[in-house]
Amino acid sequence: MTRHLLLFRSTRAVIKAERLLRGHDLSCKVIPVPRTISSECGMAIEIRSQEREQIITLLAEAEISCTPVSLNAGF
Amino acid sequence: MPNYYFDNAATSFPKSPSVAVSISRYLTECGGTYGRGAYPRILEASGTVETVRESLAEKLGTGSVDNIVFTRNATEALNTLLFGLDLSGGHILVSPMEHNAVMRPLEELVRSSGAAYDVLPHFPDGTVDISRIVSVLRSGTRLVIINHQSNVNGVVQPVAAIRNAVGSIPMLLDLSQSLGHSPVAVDEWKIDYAAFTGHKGLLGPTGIGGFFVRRPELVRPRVFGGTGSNSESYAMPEFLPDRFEAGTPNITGIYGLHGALTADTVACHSHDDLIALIDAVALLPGIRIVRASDPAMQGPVFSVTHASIDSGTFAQNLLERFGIETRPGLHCAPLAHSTLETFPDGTVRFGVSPYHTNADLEYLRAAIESVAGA
Repeated sequence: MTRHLLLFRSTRAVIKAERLLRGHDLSCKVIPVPRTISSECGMAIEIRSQEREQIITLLAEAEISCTPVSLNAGF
Repeated sequence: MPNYYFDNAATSFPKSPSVAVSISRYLTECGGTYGRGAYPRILEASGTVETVRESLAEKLGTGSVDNIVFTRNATEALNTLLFGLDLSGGHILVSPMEHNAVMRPLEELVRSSGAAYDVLPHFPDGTVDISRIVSVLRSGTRLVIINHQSNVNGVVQPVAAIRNAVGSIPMLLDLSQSLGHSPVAVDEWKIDYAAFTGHKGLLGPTGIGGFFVRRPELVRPRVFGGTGSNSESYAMPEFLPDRFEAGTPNITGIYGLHGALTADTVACHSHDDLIALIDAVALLPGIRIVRASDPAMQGPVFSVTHASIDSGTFAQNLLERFGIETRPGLHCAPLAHSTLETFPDGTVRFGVSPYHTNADLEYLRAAIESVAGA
């Protein structure tokens, strides 16, 4: 199974993104950035595969920059 | 309950009850740090920090929330900006009402980097004389610093008009006394930098303040360290707010400020009531009132001197005979006192709180009358 993460450069960006996604009833979970990935801000948001494109569009519209990353389970 | 604390220009008291409730909740229930992990306590604490940042941006009149940076207080904010900008060899203009939070860093810049400064032309109450600003502008003027509201006589400067007069020269506003009392519009006024504190007009706790920076790339950080971001790098992040927020912030203070900013504080007296008090005090025998000439530009601070009683004795009499707490002397603002011709003797300063009732104001007037007539 593939997991979909969004990386942000700052804590503020993570908080803004989480609030935005929850406000749109989109599933999201803040997790520590896996060690296999460049650390960015240390927090990442895990999202569901089927909502990935909608979320990326939503964040872009809100001018919250993020880096989408897809990983195989077990990372 | 009577409120005889009239030193709100030093620090506000009382606070809204929600300040202590919010601090207590953080210390006893929430805990957690800012942005150094991803468990619920951190998310709650980090979320509150960002909520307060957004509230402050609204108070400052800016849509650039990321450009609000937390510091310990306005003095640290001003030092960060003045020493972080490249002002070496440049010319700086300051308002005639500056506090030492600006003047001491400025003097150090003069000594260490060859910067020079001039005081803006002004009227007797310290209001900048817009019509004469052009006479002090130079081709090398790099910064104009304006004390938005004086901590001595409460005069509020006409910032929008000053901006028009200085053109595109960068402006730094010191909002230490005004934020929470006077409207602030850093975007509309095209302000480049602004420093503020949480414990005065915002009615929050001490130890938390900050600044607004429009062009962060022009300001070198003063403090370097961990930010929770870019941890693999030894270099400070270039993005905001992390560029200026190394180390764990004062989360306890930010929670207290959150309590203050969400409180439903209703002023117990009006601006007209304040002006009526000042007018009444001005009529008392032996008293010279030190105030804004235009009542519309009067903040909730004013001073008095007495013909024969020095400010320290006057303040001590107010305390011992009436329980009234004030601050006499120079208020860390020798430039402002020079402008107002109250240097070096100083004044007795009264800082009014929104929690003062008209009965409290009348008590103060009667006490000043009694001490002045002694």
